[in-house]
Amino acid sequence: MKNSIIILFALIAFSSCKKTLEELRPTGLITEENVFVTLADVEAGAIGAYAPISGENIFYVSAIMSDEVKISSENRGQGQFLHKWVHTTEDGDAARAWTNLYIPIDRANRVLAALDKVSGDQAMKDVIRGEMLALRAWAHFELWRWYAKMPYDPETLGVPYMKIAGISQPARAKTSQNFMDIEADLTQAKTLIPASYTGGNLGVGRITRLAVSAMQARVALYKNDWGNAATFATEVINAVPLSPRASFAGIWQDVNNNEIVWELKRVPNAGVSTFFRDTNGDIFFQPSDKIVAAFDSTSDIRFPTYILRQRPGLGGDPDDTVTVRKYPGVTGGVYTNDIKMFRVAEMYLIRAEARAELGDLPGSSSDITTLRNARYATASPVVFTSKQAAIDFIYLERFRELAFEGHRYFDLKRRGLTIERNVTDSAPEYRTLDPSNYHYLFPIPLREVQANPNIQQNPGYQQ
Amino acid sequence: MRKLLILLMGLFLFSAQIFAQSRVVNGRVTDAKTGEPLPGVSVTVKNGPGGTQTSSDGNYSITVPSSRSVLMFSYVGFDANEVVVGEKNTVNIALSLAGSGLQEVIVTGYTTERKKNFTGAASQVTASEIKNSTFGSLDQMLQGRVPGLSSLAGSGQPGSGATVRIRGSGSISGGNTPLYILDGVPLEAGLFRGLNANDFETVTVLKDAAATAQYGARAANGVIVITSKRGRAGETRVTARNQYGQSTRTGSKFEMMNTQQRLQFEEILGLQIGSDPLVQSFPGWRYSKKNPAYAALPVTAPGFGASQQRYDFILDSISKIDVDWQSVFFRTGIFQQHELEVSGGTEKTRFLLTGNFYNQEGIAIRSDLTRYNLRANIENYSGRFRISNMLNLNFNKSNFIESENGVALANPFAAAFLALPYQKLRNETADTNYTGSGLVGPNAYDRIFTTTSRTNQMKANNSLTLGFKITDWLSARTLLGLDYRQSDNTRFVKPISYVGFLTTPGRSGSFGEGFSRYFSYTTTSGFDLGHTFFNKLEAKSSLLYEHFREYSDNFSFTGFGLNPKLPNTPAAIAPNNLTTGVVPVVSGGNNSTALESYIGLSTFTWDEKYTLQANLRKDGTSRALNNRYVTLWSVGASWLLTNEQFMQNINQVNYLKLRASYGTAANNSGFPGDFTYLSLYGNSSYGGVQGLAPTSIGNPDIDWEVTKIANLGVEFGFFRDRFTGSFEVYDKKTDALFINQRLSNTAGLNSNPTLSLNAGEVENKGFEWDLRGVVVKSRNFEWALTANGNKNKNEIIDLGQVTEFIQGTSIIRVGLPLGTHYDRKWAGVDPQTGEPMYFLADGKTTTDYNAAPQFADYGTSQPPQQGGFGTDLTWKSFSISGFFTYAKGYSRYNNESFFYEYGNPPNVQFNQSAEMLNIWQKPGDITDFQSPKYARQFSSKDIEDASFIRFRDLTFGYSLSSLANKTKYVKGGLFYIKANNVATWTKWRGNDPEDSNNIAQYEYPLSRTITVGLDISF
Repeated sequence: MKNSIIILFALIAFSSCKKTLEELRPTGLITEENVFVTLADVEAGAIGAYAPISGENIFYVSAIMSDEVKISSENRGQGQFLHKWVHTTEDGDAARAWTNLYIPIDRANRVLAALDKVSGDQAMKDVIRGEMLALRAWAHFELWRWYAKMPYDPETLGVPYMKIAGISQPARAKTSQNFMDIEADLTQAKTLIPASYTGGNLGVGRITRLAVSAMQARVALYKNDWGNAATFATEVINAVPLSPRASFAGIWQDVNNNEIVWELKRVPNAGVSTFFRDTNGDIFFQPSDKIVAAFDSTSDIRFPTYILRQRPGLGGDPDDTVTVRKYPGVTGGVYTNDIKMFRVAEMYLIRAEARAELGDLPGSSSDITTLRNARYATASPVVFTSKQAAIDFIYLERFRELAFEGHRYFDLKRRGLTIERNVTDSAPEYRTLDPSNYHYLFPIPLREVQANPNIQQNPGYQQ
Repeated sequence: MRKLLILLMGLFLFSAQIFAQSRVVNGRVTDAKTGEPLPGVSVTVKNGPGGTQTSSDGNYSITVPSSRSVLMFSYVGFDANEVVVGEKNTVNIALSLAGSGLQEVIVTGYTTERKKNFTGAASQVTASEIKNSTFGSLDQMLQGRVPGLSSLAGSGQPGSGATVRIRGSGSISGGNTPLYILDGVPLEAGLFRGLNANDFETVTVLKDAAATAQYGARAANGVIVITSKRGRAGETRVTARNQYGQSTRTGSKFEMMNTQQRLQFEEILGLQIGSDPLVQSFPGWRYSKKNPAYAALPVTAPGFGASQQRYDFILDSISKIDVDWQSVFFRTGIFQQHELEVSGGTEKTRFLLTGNFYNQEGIAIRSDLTRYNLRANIENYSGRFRISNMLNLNFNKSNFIESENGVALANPFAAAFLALPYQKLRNETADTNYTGSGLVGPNAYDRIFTTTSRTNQMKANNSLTLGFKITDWLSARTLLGLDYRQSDNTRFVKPISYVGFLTTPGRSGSFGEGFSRYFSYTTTSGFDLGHTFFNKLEAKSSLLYEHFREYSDNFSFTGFGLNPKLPNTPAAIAPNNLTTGVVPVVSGGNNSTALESYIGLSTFTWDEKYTLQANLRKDGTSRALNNRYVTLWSVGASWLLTNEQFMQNINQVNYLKLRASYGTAANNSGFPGDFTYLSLYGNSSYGGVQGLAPTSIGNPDIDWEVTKIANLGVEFGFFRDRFTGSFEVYDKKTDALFINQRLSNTAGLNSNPTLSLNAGEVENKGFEWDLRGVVVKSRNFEWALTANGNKNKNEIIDLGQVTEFIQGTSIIRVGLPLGTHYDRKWAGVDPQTGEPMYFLADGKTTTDYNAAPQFADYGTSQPPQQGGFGTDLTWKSFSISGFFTYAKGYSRYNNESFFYEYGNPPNVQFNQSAEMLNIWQKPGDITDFQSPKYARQFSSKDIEDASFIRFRDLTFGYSLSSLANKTKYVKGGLFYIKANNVATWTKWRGNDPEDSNNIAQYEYPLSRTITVGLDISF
C-alpha cells in the first residue's frame, strides 16, 4: 500500500510540462504559416475579403444624411445625430466607412502578397489578383467619397491608400494621388480578369471585368472626367440589358439578377439589413415626403417597388404607413437582401450626364429616354434643351432610380449642392445644410485621430 | 526501523543533548473557551525529535530531554502555544481559537508561518466573520473586512461575484483579479457561488511581495488563500445550522413621473417642439386643449368621430390609468439556508462532512440561486505518512432576469423606470398581457413569462496531499489539485409570444443551450527542510516544482422555428430549412494553457527576534514565446522588538514587530490572450461560401507584466492584547504593462484593430491600518471595536510611446489614476435660450458640443479609500454586532439618469424623472434641464460622486451555552437575527452606488436581507 503511494507520489512529482509550453497551439484559429498554403487557401482568403464589406452602411448613411428619408415616430435615437447634422467625431454612423472599408483592403493586400507564394493555375491567380486589386481600388474610392471634400479637386486631402498589409500611421494622401492609385489598380485589374470570367459559384457576387468597367465609370464621374465616364459606362451598357418592367421588382426580391453588375451576396442569418427599420417592425426612417412626391405613383414601376404605402401588420403607430420597400427581404430572411453595388441603370445615368457635359444633348436625352421607357408604363421621350436642364433632370432621375442605394448624399456632394429637405420632413434646425457648414463633410473618426498622429482631421471638427 | 532511524538522526544532530537527563511529562490540553478536552493536539519538544498527540480525553505523555526544554502545542484552528517545562511533571494547557491572539499562524498555501515571525503583509478573515453570511459568493463577503482590499459587487443577482482589488489596480488591460487558492489549489476566478463559505476556516489575503512571492508569476494582483475546516478528533459532533428570511428592495433616491405628471410633461414638450413626430404621438400633447389641432376640431362629431369631445374623453380615460411599474417588477424574495456538519475522528484519522442547501430568491421576479454543497475532508496520519483529501462537490441552479445589467428595455430594472405610467399592463377581457411596439413596461413584463434564462452549474474542487517524513529535518510532499466546473446555460423564447414573434429566423421563438467546461489541475511536489542551529537559528526551506494546466471548452447551439407543443426543449427545434433560413446556429471551441514553476522558499529566524525570508521562483508560461520564462524573487525581514531585553520592562506593550519587504511578482492570467505571440486567421463566410480572414496581429515579443512591491509594516499588541493592530505603508510599481494599443484603422483586421504589447508603468502607493480593541471587559459584559481602512494613490507613470489614450469614457493619461473620467464639462443651461452650455479650456462657455473640449477632472471610478468598522457587544448570553463598510473618493457615470433626464426626442419616449417638469420652457427659466429643442449629450453632468457608507451587517445573538450546561444532549449553539444591507448613506442618485465598473447601467441593485437563524451542536 505504502509503496503504491510512493509510486503515485513520484509520478505526480516528476510530470514536467516544459514541452507542453512549447507545443501548445490555438485550437480554434489558424497560425500564419498554415493559412495560405495552396491556391485554394488563397482563394478562400479572397472570399474572406468580400465578407466584411458593408454596402448597407453606404445606403443607410447616404439616406439619413440627405433628403431621402425622414425620422419616424418610432425612431429611438438611431442615426439621429447624423440626420440632424449635429454629428461629432465620435459619431458611429459617420465613422462607418472608415472602420469598415480598411478591413477588406487589408485582406485584399494579404491575398495579393500570398498569391506570389503559392503555386497553381496562372489564369486562376490572375483572376484573384485582378479581383483583389479592383476591390482595393473600389474600397479606397468609397473612403474618398466619404471623407474628402468635393467637388473633385486634385489638391484636397484624400485618404491613406494602403497597398501592403501591416501596421503604420499613414497621413492622408492628396486626392490626385488617390485617383492615380485607384485608376492604376482598376486598369491592371481589367487586364488580369478575362471577359469570360463570370464569378464562379457566387456569380455577380464577385468582381468581374464588367464590374471593373462600372467602377471605372463611377470613378471618372466623380473626377468630372466625362470622356472616360462615357466610355466605361458604354462597356457595361453594351453587355448588360435593362430589366423588363415586369421583372423589375424581382431584382429587389433576389429572384433575378437583372441589371446587376456587382452585388454583395447575403444569406439568411448572415446579417440582417435593418437599415430603415428594426426587427420588431419599428420604423426608424421613412421615405421623405420629398421622394414620395418625386415619383409618378401610377405609371412608374419604381414607385411601388421602392416604397410601400401600407406597412406590414406589426402593430405600432397607424400613422406610419409609408416605408422603404426596396429591400423587402427574401423568403426565410426577413430584411435580408443581396446588396446591389453596381447596376447598369446607373451606367445610363452616368453616360447621360457625361454626354450632357460633353455637349451631346441628344445622346444624353436618348439615354434617359431609354431608361424611362424601361420604367414607365407609358413614357414620352425626354428632350434636353440646355446642359443645365439636362443635369437637373438627370439629378432628379438619379434621385428616383437610385433611391436608397447609396447615391443621393454623394451626388449632392459631388456638385457641392445644398441638402434641402421638405418642411414636412424636418424641423427648421435640420432643413437645409449648405456645403460650407463643416457638418456637410464627415469627420475622420476620433478613434483614428487618437491612434494615428499623422492623420489630418477635416475642418471644423475637434483636431 | 523507524525508531532506529530517529535514534541515528538524533545521535547525529542532537548529540549535545543526549547526555542531558530525560524524563516524562504528562498533561491535559483543553479548549480555553469551553474547557472541553482537545484530542489530537500535536505535542512536540522544541528543537527536539519526535512528538505525540493528545488522546481522545485530551491527555498526553511525552519524554523531554531537560528542564530547559520547551513544549510546543499546536492544533488546527487554534493558536499554537509554547511552555517551558521547568521542574514540572504535569503541564496542563488551554488553547485559544485562532485569531484570538498573537500566536496565530499565517497560511500562505505553500507553507504555514507563525505570525510573529512572518515578514510579509497578510490579513486574515476568520470563520466567524463570514459565517452564515447571506451572500452567495465569498468575494462579496470580504467587503470591508480586509484593509487594502476593495470588493464591489456588480449585481444583486443572487450568487453574483464582486470585483476584488488588492491595493489598487496595477494593470491597465491585463486584469487585476487576485489569485484565489483553496486548500493549495488555484480556483477559477469569479465563480464562487459553487462554494459554501461556512466550510472555510480562514481566508488569508496576501498583499506584499514577501507574502505573495511564493506564487510568483500569478501573484501580481495579490493572493487570497482559503483553507477549509478540518475534522476534530474526539466524539463525533453534529452541528445543524438553519436560516430563514427574506430579501427586499432598498429604496431609490429619485421619483419617476406618475400619469398626471407625465401628461403635463407631454404638453410642455408639445408647446416647445410640437412638430416632432414622436411628440405628436404622445397622448398628453395629441389630445391637449393647448394643441392647435384641438381648436380646429368640431366640438362634437357624429358617431363619436374626431372631435373635442372625443379627445377629452380619450385623455380622461388615459389619465385614470396609473401603473406603479416598480411594484409590478419587484417582489420580496425568500431566503433559506440549511446545513448539517458532522466532524470527528481519532488521533490518526479525522473527518469533516458538511451538507449545505442554500436558496435565495432575488428581488426581481424570476431571479434566484439554489445551491447544494457537499464537503468531505479527511486526514490520516500513519507513521511517516500523512495523507489528506479535501473535497467540495456542488450543484447550483440560477435563474436570471432578462438583459441583466444591460441598458435594454427587457431589463426589468430599466423597464421599471422607463415604462410609461399610462400604459396598461393587462388586457383583462382577453386575459393577456398587452405587448407591442413602444410598450416598454408591458413588453418587459411579458418577457419574464415568455422566456427563460437559466444556468445549471456543477463544480468540484479536490485537493489531495501526500507527505512523507524522511528525517526530522527533511520531508517530501506532493499535492494534486483539481478544479472542475461545468455550466449549462439554457435560453428559451416561447414561440407563441410577442418576443417569440420578433425572433428571426422563423418568427417562432428559439431554444438555445450553451455548455462550457473548465478543468484545471495543479501538481506541487518537493521537499521541506527544517533545522535549528546553535539552539538559536531556526532555518526552514522548501524546494518545489509545480505544474499547472487548464483546459476549457464550450459548445452552444440555438435553434429556431419552435413547435409550440414542445415547450423548453431542444426537441421543438425545426429541422434545417435552407429555403426559409430556419437553420440552427452551432458554435464552440476549446483551449488550454500551461504554467510550470520552480520554487524555492526560505525562512531564517535568529533567537525569536530577527527573521529573514527569501523566496525565488522561476515561471514558464505557454502564453509567451521570446520571453517565456521569468524569474521572480522577494526578501523580507522582521524584528520582534518585544523579545528584546530592553522591552521586557514595558508591560503595556506585549507585542511589537517591525518588518520590511521587497520583491517582484507577475501577472500570468493577465496576458492579453493565450496566443498573443501569434498572428492568427479564422473562418469567415461570404454568400454562404467559406473563406479565411485574419483575426489578430501577433507580437512574439510579448513579455511578462511585472510588479515590484516594497512594504513596511508594524504590528502591535497592548495591555495583554486588548488592543491590537497593524499599520502598513507600501509602494507597488507595475511595469511592462500589457497594453492593447489601438492601431490606425488602416491596419485592417477589424473595426477596432489593436496590438498587444508591453509598455508603461503604473504605481500604487498608500497605507493601511487595522485596529481591534476590547474597550470594556468584565465578567458578564464585553464591548469590542474594530476598524480598518486604507488610502491608495494610483498613478500612471508612463505609457511607452504615447502619453494618453482613451478607453471608452475614461482616459488613460500619465499622471492620472486609472479609471479617470473624461468628458465635456457641463456649464448649465443658458437661461435665455435654454441651450446646454459646455466649458471651453479658457473657462468660457460654448453651446457647440463639438467645439467643447474634454476634461479629465471629474475623478476616478476606482475608489482610493475603503474599509470597514464594527462593534460587538456581549452581555451574558446576548450579543449584538454591527458592521459598516465604506468606499470613498470615487465617481461614476450615471447612464440611468441619462435616459430619465433626457427631455427631448428620442429618449423622451421613456418615462422621465418627476424633476424633469422643471425643464426649460421660456427665457429666464433657471434650470439644469435644457430645452427639448437641443440634443442631450453625455457630459460631466452625468458623473456623480458614488462614495458610500453602508450598514452592511447587524446581528443579534443569543448563545445556547447555558442550555448546553443544563443538558448533555446539546453542546452549544446560537440563535440569531441577522440583517444585511440595512442602510446606505450616499450622494449617488441612482439605484445602488456600489458597482464593479465605472458606469451605472440599470444594474441589479443589492437587496436588503433579514434572516432568523439557529445553529445548534449535538
